[in-house]
Amino acid sequence: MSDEKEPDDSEAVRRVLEGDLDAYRWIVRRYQDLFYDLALRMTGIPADAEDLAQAALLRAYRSLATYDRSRSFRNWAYSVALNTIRNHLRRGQVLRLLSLEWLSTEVASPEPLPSGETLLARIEAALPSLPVSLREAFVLHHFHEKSAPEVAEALGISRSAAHVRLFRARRALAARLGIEPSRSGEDAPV
Amino acid sequence: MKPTDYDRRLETLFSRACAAASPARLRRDLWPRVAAGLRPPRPEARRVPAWAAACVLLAALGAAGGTEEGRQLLGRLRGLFFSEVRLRLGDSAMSARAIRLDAHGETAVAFGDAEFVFRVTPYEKDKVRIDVAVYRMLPDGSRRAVARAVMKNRMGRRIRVDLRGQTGVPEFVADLVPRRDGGGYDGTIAPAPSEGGER
Repeated sequence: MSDEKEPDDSEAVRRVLEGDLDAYRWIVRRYQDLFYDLALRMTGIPADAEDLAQAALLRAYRSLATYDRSRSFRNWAYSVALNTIRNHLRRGQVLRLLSLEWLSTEVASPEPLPSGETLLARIEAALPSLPVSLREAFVLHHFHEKSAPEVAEALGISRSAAHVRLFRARRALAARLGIEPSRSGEDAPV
Repeated sequence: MKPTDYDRRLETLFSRACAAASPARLRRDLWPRVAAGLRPPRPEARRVPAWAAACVLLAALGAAGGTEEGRQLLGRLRGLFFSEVRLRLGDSAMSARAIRLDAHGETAVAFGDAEFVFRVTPYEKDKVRIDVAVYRMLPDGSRRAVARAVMKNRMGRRIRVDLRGQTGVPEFVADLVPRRDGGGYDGTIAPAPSEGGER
């Protein structure tokens, strides 16, 4: 087993569809951390993220027969994971109790245009406040480095709709983080 | 929607910041658990569906109705289903509380030395915003704000909300059922079941 060459996605899928259940472990090991990271950034809750990554991998397995092999498996798998996460977010609303110290620094005294790790930490803290449709586009593009066409395919929307969601997500986050157009010396948003 | 220079600048700013993020990694391999789910469950391992369990309970009640045994059974069931959930937050004993939220109103629910304040504010045509604030009651009678959360929902929809602390662990569960007159919600708030309980 340890000497076995790791098959690529299409080879692993072919073997699973031919009845080799064990070949699915390659898919699981390739995607489990990606789906965990995706779910964690969407829900903000590690325990839920782990359950969702597992549920998404099981759901992908059960839907494998419907997978169109002319499409990218990676994008298809992402769309399955996103559906799983979306259903979870729809089923039970989760409120995270934010400590007031965090809220007061966030709202009362926005820092000058932040950079590096500070900005990253603030983006991660502000992400849960974005609507799900904007959050998933932002996470796919900025954290999972998917191009706008790949975001469109994973979300099942047109490319222009993906671009619009990305604009809106960035503007909404910028507003929450106190990044104003005037500060950067650029033109005002439409 | 045409991107402005501001949009391009934001894209660069966010791309640069997010590139520094470390991808989250699982602490354990999911393959053993996923693999267990790939195989069909053995017949003896199947769970009894909820509706079947309910039928069994009803049948037991029907069979025992009107007898002393039946009253004892009902008593045990009440004990099972109506016992209050209890846990301790700090030094305070906590139990489930009924809540009634009026539209355009504020409702305070005390839990030992903690107090939850719910405020309902309708907005737009059919949406409602619910603010939850948590206060710690201090010995001198004053209160100190501990946490705050905001939720938006459509009017007339049941809401089940997990209130989670900063660690992500559920601490309270609020179950709000819209009233028929549309004037608010009735429901309960209770400490969340412990981690070992059923999810």
